[in-house]
Amino acid sequence: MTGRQDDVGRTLRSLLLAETDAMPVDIHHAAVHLRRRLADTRKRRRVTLAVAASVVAAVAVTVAGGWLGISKAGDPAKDPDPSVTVAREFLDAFVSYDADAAISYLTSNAAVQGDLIAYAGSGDAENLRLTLAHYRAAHYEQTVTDCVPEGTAASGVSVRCAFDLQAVRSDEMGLGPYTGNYWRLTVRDRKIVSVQQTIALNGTRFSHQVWGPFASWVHINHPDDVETMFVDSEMIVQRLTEDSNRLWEQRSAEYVAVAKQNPGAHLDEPDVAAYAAKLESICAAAQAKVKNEIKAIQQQTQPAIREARERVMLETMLQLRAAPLPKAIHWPYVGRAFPLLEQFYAYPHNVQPPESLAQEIQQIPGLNKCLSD
Amino acid sequence: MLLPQRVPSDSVTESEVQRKALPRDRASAVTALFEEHYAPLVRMARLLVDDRETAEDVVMDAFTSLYRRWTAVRDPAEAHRYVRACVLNGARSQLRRRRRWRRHESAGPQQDAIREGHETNQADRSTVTQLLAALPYRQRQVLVLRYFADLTEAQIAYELGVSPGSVKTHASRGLAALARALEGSR
Repeated sequence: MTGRQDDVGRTLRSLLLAETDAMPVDIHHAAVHLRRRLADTRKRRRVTLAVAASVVAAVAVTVAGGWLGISKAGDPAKDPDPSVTVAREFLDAFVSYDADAAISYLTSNAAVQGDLIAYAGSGDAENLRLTLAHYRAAHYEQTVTDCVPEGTAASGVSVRCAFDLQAVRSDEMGLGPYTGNYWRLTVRDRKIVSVQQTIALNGTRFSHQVWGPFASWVHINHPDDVETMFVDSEMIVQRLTEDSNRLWEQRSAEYVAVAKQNPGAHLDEPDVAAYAAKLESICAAAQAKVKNEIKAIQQQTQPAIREARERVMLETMLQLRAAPLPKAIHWPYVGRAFPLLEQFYAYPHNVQPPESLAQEIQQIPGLNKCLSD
Repeated sequence: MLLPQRVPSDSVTESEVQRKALPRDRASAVTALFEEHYAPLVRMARLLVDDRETAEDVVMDAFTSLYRRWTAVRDPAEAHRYVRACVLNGARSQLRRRRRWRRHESAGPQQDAIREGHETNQADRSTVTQLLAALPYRQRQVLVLRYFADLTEAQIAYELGVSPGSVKTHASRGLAALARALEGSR
């Protein structure tokens, strides 16, 4: 950074502090709002537990009824909340890319909003068709895992449906599924009046494991396509046109093919061999550091050991990603190898990652030593 | 071994956070953290989104998310980092949604403004926030985290999921653009 930029940085810091110090923040009002939201969340958890309990009870009644020859009419498992049924049917249509079927569940002025979608009423059918065509082209696959009624308001019954996401062919690279996403739908008189789709860009790391590398790859290798495929120069929002969808299908397939290339095939190139050796030394040093740090812990509790391992592995991931990558193997590491390793580390302490994941990583030059404990 | 969903705790602020004990029940603990961090986080979010109301919503969502994930969060410092990460991503999602929605509502002249990053409510903004808003979003994030939240380059790299070199590049480009804009405004 130049001296001039240091000056600008200092100026920026003082301007930002002056700007934000002058901004009033009503903590009291906000605290009241937070308490209300936490209470709502608790209530929803209770509803979820109640639903789970009712499912268990229903199963028990079904089994007992089967033994005793009792009729199953009126069984709650057989008569789910109609709002949940409508929500599920709408989402079934949605994840099957069937725009007409999806629209048939919406009121004429329904609004559908989200990270990957915008739709405003029946005059907007073409836009929804293009959106779903984009989903298909970019291989968005959403698996609805759970739908729970959240409560009733004047606008209707609110239903929250969680879903797992695969997109931009992440599944073809062995990545994902990316969890923590949800739909919130409001249902009134068996019609949907509003839909909000939220994709968890935070916890899932979808953004920098899949979206970011793909966008960079397009930007570098097909700069002329950027404007056709994205609305903005930052490549955050996809453009919804037939030309764009065609390119998403084609470029995502090409990207996956590049990311899945075996970096081992380049090991006869000196810079690649040196890079693999560098990664191996980073991983070996990390293992040694973990052992030393654990030895140095006075009270050998599981949380303390876990903390030491996590701290070292965080540093290790940063070092691995910071090592200058030879061009020939850039995308196999950025697009697949590092995300796979992060996925491996992201498994909770008490859960064994799948053997297939470990095997995939073991085949990547330089990362083998990062797996042993 | 595990990959922690957090950044190294090397700042004075986070060390201070770590020393404080929290109430044992979930709601009281989240409320205590809220009282301590809400105002600075709203101020940070305000620099990342278009208006104060959105900033407040993003921070409120972050604390609600913390409440849901409380059992997976082990200490106050980690909770603080988790909320900050939620705010960063929530702000980005809000802008993304807004861009899509505005694009959808009115194609045409506004589209050009959006693409140049000038989609903000100008009347509500000072020169510095207008200049920040005109930067590409990644540069804006990096500058806010560096010069407002006082994070190191390594911390920013982890928060944003990019390399430290990339943080340096974004910071350098962002500062250069701001310098040009500040000179132009004089």
